[in-house]
Amino acid sequence: MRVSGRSLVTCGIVASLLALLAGQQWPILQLRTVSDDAALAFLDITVGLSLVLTGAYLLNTRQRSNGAILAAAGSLWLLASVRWALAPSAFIHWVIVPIPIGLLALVLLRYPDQRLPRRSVRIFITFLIAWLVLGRLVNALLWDPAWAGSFGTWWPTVVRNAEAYTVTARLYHGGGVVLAVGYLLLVLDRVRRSTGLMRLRTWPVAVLGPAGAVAFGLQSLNWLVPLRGDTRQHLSIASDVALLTIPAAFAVIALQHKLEQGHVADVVTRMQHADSPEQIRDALRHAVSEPRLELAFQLPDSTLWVNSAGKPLALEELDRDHLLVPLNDSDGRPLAVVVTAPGLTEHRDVLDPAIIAVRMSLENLRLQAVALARLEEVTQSRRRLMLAGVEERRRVERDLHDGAQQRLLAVSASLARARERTTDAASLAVLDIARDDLRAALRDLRELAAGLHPAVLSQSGLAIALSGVTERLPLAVRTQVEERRWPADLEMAAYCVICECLTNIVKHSGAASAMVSAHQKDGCLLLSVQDDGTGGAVSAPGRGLAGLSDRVAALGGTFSIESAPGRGTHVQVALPCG
Amino acid sequence: MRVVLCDDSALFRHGLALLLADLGVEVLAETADAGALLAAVAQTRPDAAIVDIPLPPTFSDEGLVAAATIRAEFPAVAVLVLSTYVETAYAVRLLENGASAVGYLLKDRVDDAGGLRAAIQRLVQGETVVDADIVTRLLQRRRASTALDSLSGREREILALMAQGQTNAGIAENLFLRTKTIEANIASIFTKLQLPSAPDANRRVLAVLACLRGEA
Repeated sequence: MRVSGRSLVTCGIVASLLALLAGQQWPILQLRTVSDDAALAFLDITVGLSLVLTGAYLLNTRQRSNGAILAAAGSLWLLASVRWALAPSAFIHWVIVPIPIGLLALVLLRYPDQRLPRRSVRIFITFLIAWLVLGRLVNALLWDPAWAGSFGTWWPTVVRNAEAYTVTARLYHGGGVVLAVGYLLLVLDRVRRSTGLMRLRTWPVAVLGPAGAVAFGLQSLNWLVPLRGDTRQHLSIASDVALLTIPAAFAVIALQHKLEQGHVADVVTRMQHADSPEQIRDALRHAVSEPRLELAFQLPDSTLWVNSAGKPLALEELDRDHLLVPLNDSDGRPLAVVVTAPGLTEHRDVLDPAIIAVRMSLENLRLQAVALARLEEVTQSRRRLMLAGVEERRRVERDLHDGAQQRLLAVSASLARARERTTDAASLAVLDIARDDLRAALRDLRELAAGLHPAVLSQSGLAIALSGVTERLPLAVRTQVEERRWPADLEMAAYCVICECLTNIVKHSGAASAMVSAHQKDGCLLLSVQDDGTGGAVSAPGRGLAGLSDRVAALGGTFSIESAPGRGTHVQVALPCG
Repeated sequence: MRVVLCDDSALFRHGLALLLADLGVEVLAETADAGALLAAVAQTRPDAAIVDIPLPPTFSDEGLVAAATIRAEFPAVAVLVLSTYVETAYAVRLLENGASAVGYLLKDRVDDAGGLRAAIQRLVQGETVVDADIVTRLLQRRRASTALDSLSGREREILALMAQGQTNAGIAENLFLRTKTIEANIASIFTKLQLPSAPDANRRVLAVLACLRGEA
């Protein structure tokens, strides 16, 4: 059976109206004067019905057994409220009247668990129900319905002794008052003990629960103390109203629960945006209202555990009086352990989605960290590769320069000496051929070395190296290059970027002049190459510009190009100097 | 003529020393770094120091720094920078500290013994020598608009030879022209470059400098 909140309300209203009508119409239900009885009958039936409906509602939630007990209490209450004139119902009514009170006490002490929390409470409830039922039964056996003017009603009277009856009845009700007080103390103890989510979710029961005790206490008092008729009447009404607060409390809990779930959803959303373990922990704390909740992480390759802030945690000690919920990732590898108050296990409906969200968030965070680490690794290795390439070319250039070139130049000097020493025309002719070949070889070698690595760049820096480049170009290039040194890889990248841009300008732009600048600002080497050509340059993979942006990216820099048709091309590059 | 050598490549340095010896140039010392060069210059007071640019320890511009030091501290010692690099910036730097008795030649010029000896001789006499490749590159340089653009083709040719340190007679021989014609052209160059009246040798140096610095 599925009972929605709305149908619950509708049923309550209909039942109340019916009860009112019943009180008005059927004398069999009437106990006292017509007007008073109608109000009481209305209240009695309303209490019973609302208990049944609340029970039915709880049956559809995790509170199945509590729901069943509540429904049973309501049914018995209804049964007791209708004073059947027929035998043996009068006796049954007599016996069942106090049972709903006992059952309500049971539910309220159990809620929100499905069992009684402690042994002392179990003993108390057993004693309470035994007292209520057995005490009432003993009273019944000493009573005669004829004393109340009811003749012919079936009644299992054992001893017809009014005095003995009065004594046992006083004893019974007196005990009832004592038990009511005991129950109140248990409820207060419960409130004192509960924390966080537990307190949040039980407060309506904790606050309104004593209503049951008050109701029962009032009924007992009603019997014990000789009161005027209308005072008794008022006490009965107050008792019923007090009982009505119990279904009301459950209604409030149901509503609050809905809000909490919305709250959890909100927290879950928030958790997805968390970018630190602390933020995830705080979101989880918020979700389950446990301000002392902690997330424990095992340090890699270690048996040490730390909290989200990195402080060491003694997990084994915490295990004794805390609830530890291990969280594994989707591959079953441990992510973290949630450390919280033990009572939280009873709120799986809130805890579970929150934990799933935490797991997802932590996994995201870890994936993110891993991805970032890998990206960093890739960036670093890309940079290392590039540096290694630059270094290798520089080394080869140096080798060519210091080795082959110097050797050839020495040969050149020797040839010159030979030329000086001979006057033989044939020898001179051969020596001239050798000299020409050697010149060609040296020229080839110089071009090869320059293509490998611009030696001037490492010798004298960007400004001089670039002036050597720009003066060879068939266009006027204005250069504003800061005369200082940067790290070798940075200078090399800047040099290559500018050379590539200048080559593009010469090849494609049709520009008459260009402007090159390089200077340091805010920890970056800023490059700018601008021309007055046709524009419309695009950076496509495999093209020179894309290669440039790759090289810049390898150094963690940024590359931008503006090249509107007809407005020249402006390439700007920022290379971090750190 | 007495010279000291400085080059970190022993092979080339030694080859050069042998060549210079054959040319009748006395090599007083062979050094491999700037410190040793300065010490040798201070000690032997040669007519000229012949130095490479990248030298230990950093292999950057030690040779240029040493050249400036020698020219400042030992004005009687001419400096010839023998470099493997066709870098106008290096030549400009060398000449910035005073354009007399300094020269910038490519090492490749060792294949022309006579040319080398003549260059050293001119340097020792206080003239300027700039490698033909460097001058060519300087003159090829594109600028927005300079006084150099006002020179005629013939005048540019003559300026280039002048920049290399050639005498009027040398230029005339080189271009198969009469010395009178060369003199007339040089006068025109001085006018177009708006060089102040000065002794001829000095004006020639100024013309070369203007050319090197790109101010012309």
